[in-house]
Amino acid sequence: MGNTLIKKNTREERVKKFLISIGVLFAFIIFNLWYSGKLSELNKIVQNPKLQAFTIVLLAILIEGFSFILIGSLISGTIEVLIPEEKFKKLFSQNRFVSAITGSFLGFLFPVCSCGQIPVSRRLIKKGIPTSGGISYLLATAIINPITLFSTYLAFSSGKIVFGRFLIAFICSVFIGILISPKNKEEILKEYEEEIHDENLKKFEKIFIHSTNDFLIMGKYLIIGATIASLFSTFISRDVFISIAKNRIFSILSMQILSIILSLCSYADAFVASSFTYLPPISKIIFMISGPMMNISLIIFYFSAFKAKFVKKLLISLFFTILILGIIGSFIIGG
Amino acid sequence: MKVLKNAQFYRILICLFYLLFFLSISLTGNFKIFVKKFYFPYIIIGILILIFILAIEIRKEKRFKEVNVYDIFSFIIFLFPILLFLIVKPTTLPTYAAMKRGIQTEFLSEDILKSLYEKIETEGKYKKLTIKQILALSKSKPEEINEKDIAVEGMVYKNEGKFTLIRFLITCCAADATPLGIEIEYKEETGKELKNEEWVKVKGKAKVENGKVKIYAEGIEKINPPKDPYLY
Repeated sequence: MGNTLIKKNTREERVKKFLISIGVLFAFIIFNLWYSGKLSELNKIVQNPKLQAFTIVLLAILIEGFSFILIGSLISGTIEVLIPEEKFKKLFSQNRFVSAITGSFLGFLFPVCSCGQIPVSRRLIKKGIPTSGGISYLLATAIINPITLFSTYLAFSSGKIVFGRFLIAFICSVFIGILISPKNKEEILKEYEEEIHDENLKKFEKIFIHSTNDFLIMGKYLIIGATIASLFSTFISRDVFISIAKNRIFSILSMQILSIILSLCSYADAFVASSFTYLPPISKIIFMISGPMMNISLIIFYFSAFKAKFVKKLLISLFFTILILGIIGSFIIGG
Repeated sequence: MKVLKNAQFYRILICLFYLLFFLSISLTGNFKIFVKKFYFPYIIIGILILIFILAIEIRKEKRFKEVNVYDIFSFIIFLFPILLFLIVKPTTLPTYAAMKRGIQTEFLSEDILKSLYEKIETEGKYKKLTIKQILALSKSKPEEINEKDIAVEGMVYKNEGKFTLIRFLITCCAADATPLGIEIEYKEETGKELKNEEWVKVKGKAKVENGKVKIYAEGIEKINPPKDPYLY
């Protein structure tokens, strides 16, 4: 007990020092600008194209992300408050395999993407659906839903690509769901500080309090993730990745890494993938599988809802499963 | 200053700031700088949820929980994008982003070909087309565009003496924006003044060779940035 308290205090101290250093750095920059007489040129500095591009991409990801977090957290709050745990358990098979398959199709029932799936899947697991189902829902829902599949068709005008994307997403999410799911949900879920115990609250108030908690806790992770993604998107040239995509494995691997860095929404990534005209179809499919499952803003976001140990396991197994599925796919369909 | 020591105060501020941010981009139409119109309903739903959340948080205001360093840290993180928005005052994706993303000079879109000839405005002898329309036509129906007089708007991107007219094509949001570009041949005196990022209208003759289009400019005039900077 004493040990935990000391640890907590040192961590608090570290955060405090970090905040103070940022403040000092900021003050130093302003002072430096003032001293060199460039403070009036601040207007020119903020018009810098790099800063403009970074700000626009960051805010674009956040506007999309926050809208979906809010919708996702409302669905999550509704599940928490209105559906009793027993009823929920009855709705879903307790068999790990069946549950993983069901989970991968839940995107048709709760079609949220761009971050909305995280509060929902966390709540589903909390409510008692087998962890394998929660994990496969988490991974598949951004891809296996009508909007994403339709936009993939629009981008490629090819049923084969849509089927390939669907099939690989399905295999990957079910496999990972079964592979890394523990029996005990406590091994996955991060504990939140604030839960509702006030029985006097009305049901709709409870729903919105859950939404606020989801929004405030997860939102900051989204901002950190989106900031890193926007930095990459602003400063790294896409040509670098395309130029190293010379052979089968490199082309899959480079598209996998590019999708992680770019953090595109699953509704839109197909249109970007279709512009890589010179790449084999399997590399484009892998780009559209890897991005919605493990891009940078999502990776940081996973840490908001799940325990760090689980997230690390999830990311490592996901990365290699997608890569291997890509290589197998390239032998089957060529490329 | 008891209120500053209450963690609840910071939660309310975060909800309020984001509500105001969402309201301001919706009311001014500035959301179009970031996301496609398709997302507007989602933004409105977000605003409604934020209003409810804010109302409930304000009702909880009397509960006192001493603020700690983590609360302040969260508050700063939430504040960062809002401050950036206020300070940088973003307008449109710059041509710098086009360079990093790789400019597409070829593009094929079936859906626009169907509707293309229903309604085309003209300006004198020039047909007003977008970069997307020109690229799609030059690929699929070059005869419709080759040797024709065309007026097209976009941003200037000059690199090593080459002038490319740029417009971003958006599917969902600015993160996925793909830069479309057309090479412009111009006389030195017409284009000398032009700087990167400037919005211009180019009038001239289009020539298509092997599916690639080039416009030979007869006149280039500076224009104000359009209200909707992107193509969809």
